[in-house]
Amino acid sequence: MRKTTDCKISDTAIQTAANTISASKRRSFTAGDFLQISFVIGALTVLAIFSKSEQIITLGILFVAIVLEALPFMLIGTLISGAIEVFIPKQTITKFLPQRTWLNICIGAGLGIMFPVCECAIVPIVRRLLRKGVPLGGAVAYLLAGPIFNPVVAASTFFAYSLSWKIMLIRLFCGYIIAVTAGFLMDFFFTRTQALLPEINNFATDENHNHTHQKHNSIARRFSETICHAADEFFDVTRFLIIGAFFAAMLQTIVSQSFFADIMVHPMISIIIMMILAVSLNLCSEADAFIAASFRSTPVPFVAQLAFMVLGPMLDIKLILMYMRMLKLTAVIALAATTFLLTLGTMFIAGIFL
Amino acid sequence: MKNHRETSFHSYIACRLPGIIFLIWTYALLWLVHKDRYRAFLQPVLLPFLITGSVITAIFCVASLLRKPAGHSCSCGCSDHHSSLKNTVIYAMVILLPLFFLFTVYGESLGTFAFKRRSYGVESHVSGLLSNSTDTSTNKADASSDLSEEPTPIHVILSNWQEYEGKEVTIEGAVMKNDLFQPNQCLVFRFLIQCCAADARPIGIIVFSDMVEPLKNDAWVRVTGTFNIQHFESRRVAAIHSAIVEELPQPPVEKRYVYPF
Repeated sequence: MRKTTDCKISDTAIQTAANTISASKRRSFTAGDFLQISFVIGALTVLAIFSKSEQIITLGILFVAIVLEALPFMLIGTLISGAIEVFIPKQTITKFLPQRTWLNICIGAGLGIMFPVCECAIVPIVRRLLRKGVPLGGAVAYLLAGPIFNPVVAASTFFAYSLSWKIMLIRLFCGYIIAVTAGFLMDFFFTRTQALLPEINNFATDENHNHTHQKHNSIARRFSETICHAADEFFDVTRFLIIGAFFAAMLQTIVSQSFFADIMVHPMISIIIMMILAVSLNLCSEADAFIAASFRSTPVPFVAQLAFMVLGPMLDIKLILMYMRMLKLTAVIALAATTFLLTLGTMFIAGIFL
Repeated sequence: MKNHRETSFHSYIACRLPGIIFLIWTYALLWLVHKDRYRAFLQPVLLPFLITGSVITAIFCVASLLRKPAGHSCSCGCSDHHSSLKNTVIYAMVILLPLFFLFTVYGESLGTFAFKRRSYGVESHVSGLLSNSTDTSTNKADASSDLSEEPTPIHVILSNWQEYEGKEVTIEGAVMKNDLFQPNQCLVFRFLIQCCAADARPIGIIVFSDMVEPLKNDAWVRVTGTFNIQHFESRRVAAIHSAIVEELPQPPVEKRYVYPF
């Protein structure tokens, strides 16, 4: 009896100690905090000193434009994420998910057809799905394919390339194949614990949290919880969108795009340059086809334009930063490298046939 | 006791600060929607999304201001979404940063500096980008109705250049000169926005007229003359000859860009 009490006391003590460490960790400044503060102070100082210079005006316009374009979609994404958290119990997701990994990944990559969201909105949704216990491979496949393999992006590609069904289907097919392969590779090389941030992975195993939401029967209360969760999610993830948008705008201001055009002499170099452009420009997946199509009058081959349209929605500066809110650094690096190399390989093969 | 009060105060601020940030963002989004100010950054098609965004931030604002601080029991019983005051302040700083830029640069637009950064190769500096203009094919125009003084958007002319060839047109745009031009030549250009200013692409028509000599880069002009397609620096470009050029005050920033749909 005494042993049980001791054990309980000891458990409580450990829990209290853990809470204290966690609380003090939250209060103390980390390197990430200093970086974010330095970033804000640096940006505001530059704005205050050089507000009349053409460079800063251009930087400011591009920065604000990227944020404003992405913001409504982020807000919608976080609302969906909050609704998933409150209205869909983990058990339901587990029940409906296919048991076989390959089927899981293939279905995940095709979900964009039914739930069309752009790359900004998809991050909070996938983050929430991972917290609900969705397998890593399927989540990665949806994360990468969702912003390409969807009807809105299909339509924009169709119109940008002068009503070409062929180009539209090639883009969707390449996006799907790359996402499925990346899903398999991530699932093969990483476990959830290895890939996911502790707060995402631990949350998935926390049965109590799900049960708590189920206890409340009032729809009004569940709506209010949805909004609270969505607001928190937005507050947490949006800063990465903003930091990414700033660096993308800075890159667009500093580096002349004609610099890239001048060195696109070889098809393979063109593909790589267009992939680097896709990562650095941070364009919305619903608009990037129009930009890719504008390269038709330049020496840039079609396969390089395709590389631009396929990689951009999967990987850019703001997305890499946003991925860091659900994946560990090693997993983000692996995912970025895998996506980049798979796109390169796919374009190389596509170049043979196109 | 003092510590407890301090903690409660910190929790209170950490809990209310997001609500204030959402309130500021709601105001900013509505300010942008009012008088079409958002057109300085975004394509008009995105207006419904911007309005939706402002409604959602308003809802988030109310929810954040009404919720209980972390010290109290949370409505859903979980603590994962309660950040410390330090984290909340840092997040708030980052989230407010775009608004400082918004209110500082509002009124300005992309000009010749951005033009030079966003053109692909030297040739396109002077081109009407004729081959690219096909992607704006949604802009069908009746050339006969555009022969009046009313300016025709540059992208409409470039999309339907066959219909305008040899006819008199009036355009408005900003002036761009560089080493490739003679003193009586310049490019009159606008930025075409597909989605947001980050994808803005310069499109322009070369103007041949003695009246362009005194003009400086970024000057806003109205040009009336005969539209033709010709070779310039070994490339087919859109051009206006025998032009009458009139310098205008810069239009409001919401009207400086063109949008394909």
